[in-house]
Amino acid sequence: MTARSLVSIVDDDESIRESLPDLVRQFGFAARAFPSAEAFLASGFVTETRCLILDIAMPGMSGPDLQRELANRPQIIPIVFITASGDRAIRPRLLAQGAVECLFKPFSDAALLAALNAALAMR
Amino acid sequence: MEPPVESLADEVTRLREALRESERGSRLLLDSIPGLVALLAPDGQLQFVNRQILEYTGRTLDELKHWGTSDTVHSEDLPHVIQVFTRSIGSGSPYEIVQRLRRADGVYRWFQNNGFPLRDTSDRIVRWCVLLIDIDERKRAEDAIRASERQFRLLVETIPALVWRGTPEGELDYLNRRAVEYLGHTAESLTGGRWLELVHPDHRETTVQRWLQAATTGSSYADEYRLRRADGEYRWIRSVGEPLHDTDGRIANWYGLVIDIEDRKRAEAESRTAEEALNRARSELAHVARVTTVGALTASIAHEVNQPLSGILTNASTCLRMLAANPPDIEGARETARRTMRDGNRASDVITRLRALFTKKEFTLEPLDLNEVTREVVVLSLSELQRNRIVLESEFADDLPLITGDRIQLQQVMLNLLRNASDAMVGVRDRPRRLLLRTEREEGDGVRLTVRDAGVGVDPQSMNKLFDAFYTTKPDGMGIGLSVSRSIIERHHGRLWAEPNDGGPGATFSFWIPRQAERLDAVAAPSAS
Repeated sequence: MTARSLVSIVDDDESIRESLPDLVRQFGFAARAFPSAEAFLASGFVTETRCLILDIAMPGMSGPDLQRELANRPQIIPIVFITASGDRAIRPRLLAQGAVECLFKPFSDAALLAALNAALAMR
Repeated sequence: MEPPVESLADEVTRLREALRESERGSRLLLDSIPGLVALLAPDGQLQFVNRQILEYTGRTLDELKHWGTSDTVHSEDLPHVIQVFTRSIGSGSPYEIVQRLRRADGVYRWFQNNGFPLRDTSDRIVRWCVLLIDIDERKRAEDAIRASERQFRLLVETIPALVWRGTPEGELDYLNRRAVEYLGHTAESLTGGRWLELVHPDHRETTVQRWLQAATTGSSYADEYRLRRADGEYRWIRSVGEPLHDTDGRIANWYGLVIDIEDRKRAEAESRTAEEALNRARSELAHVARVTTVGALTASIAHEVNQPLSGILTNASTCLRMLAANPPDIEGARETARRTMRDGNRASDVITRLRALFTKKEFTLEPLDLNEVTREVVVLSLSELQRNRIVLESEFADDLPLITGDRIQLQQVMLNLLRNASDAMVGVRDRPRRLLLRTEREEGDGVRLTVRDAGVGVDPQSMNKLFDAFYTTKPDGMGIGLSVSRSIIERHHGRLWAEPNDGGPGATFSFWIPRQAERLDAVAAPSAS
């Protein structure tokens, strides 16, 4: 088996950054967490990232901002949005803009795994 | 021996002379009396009037003989005069009439008219003598006094108050008609201190004490208590009394008034109730406004709770997977379990903060750390700030003294300021939407919180109006947030003000609170939105 696919996680919430990488690794992927979109862009892991788990609402650059930014690049990174907001109306909008999935916190491990598999299957 | 005819005739002449002389004497006498005198035949026929009558009436004896059909006696008095006079002549008993008699110039004056019979030795009535005494001035004075008394009595009886009079001993001895009607009792039925039975049992003791105090010292009396009306209803009354002293300085009488003040009392109570209702409505309004904020903050709440919940769920899933692995990753499972607990505590903290923030409470004072209070508000506002793409920068001083205040109310103010700042920057696209939140220690031992935005700013002319109730620059705002905020800060003896940013767009709102604000105004506090 080749190197495991890198799943990058961008969320300003510490609970998520602490817990999600371990679960993602349990799924069999590599995982890295970043506290902001800016930190992710500056990290040097962008090209290596096969899937992005992205929080929507963050100080500074938001999740959709990062989505737009990445859309300008040749490399396509499938995005699974996660949000603590209860506003269900944003999901169809984000999917229409190319997101693989939009999960509302708290979400189940099965839902996340399904979304990650869908994202990685796109490649 | 027969007397000679001449001597008989002489004798008659002599007797006649003597009689004439006597009559002249009588006339002289009657004409000299300072009064009007008339002599009448036994049948009442006028025979003689003295000079004073002739002069007073300006009429002759013959004219006066027809007094019963002329205007000599005032027409209003004439029937009565004729009746009494006729009866008296018939019965032979004296009479006394008060009547008006016409003077020569046509003016009627009041006279006392006394008539009495003159009898001979055999008790036969030979004449009536009538004496008329001018009592006009006395009568008028009496009438004036009587009219005046009537006026006063009328006044006392009809005055819209209950009038009472008391003896020096404090016994009730007079009630005006209104008092009698009001109480359903007369002064007589309330003597012996029985008036006290009309006083409401709750007020009886103090009422007695105050009355006895006034009665024994002779000082003015005033009291308010509830008194039973004739219909059985107890009504608030005000009773006042003044002692009238005699020439020796002793109390001759007490005079007093009882005024029904039930309606006034009720109006006062209603006005108090209305005021309370207004206060309630005001705080309800503030509460509604706060609920509106709560509505806007629902996203924050969901956000704040969902973050740790999400962590818990993820950690638990990870933990199970680690335990199910072959071999089980015990150390990893242990770590995820610890993280699960940490997230559980985070969630619990959020709930605690929310409960503190949204429980509807009265004004409660406690020592506060402004930084801590501000941080809680920031946490709650975060999602809204993020939604509006606000970059929040905070500078918290680490040497702040504790202040005394109401945590929730101050947080209402902060939420309001943050929301305003956020709203002011919604339309900003050409520069970062920076929001600076700063706490500082102020000279004079106070603390200051500053909220500086980079928004549309405030027109300097409108600066003062900002804090007026219902003034708003927002299309969907109610304009009560800043007004209520300012009243909250003022209740903390602090100050809330706004100023344009120097050298840059936007506005800065600040409040300052003294270190010790121990005594806050007791008025129910409105809360901010």
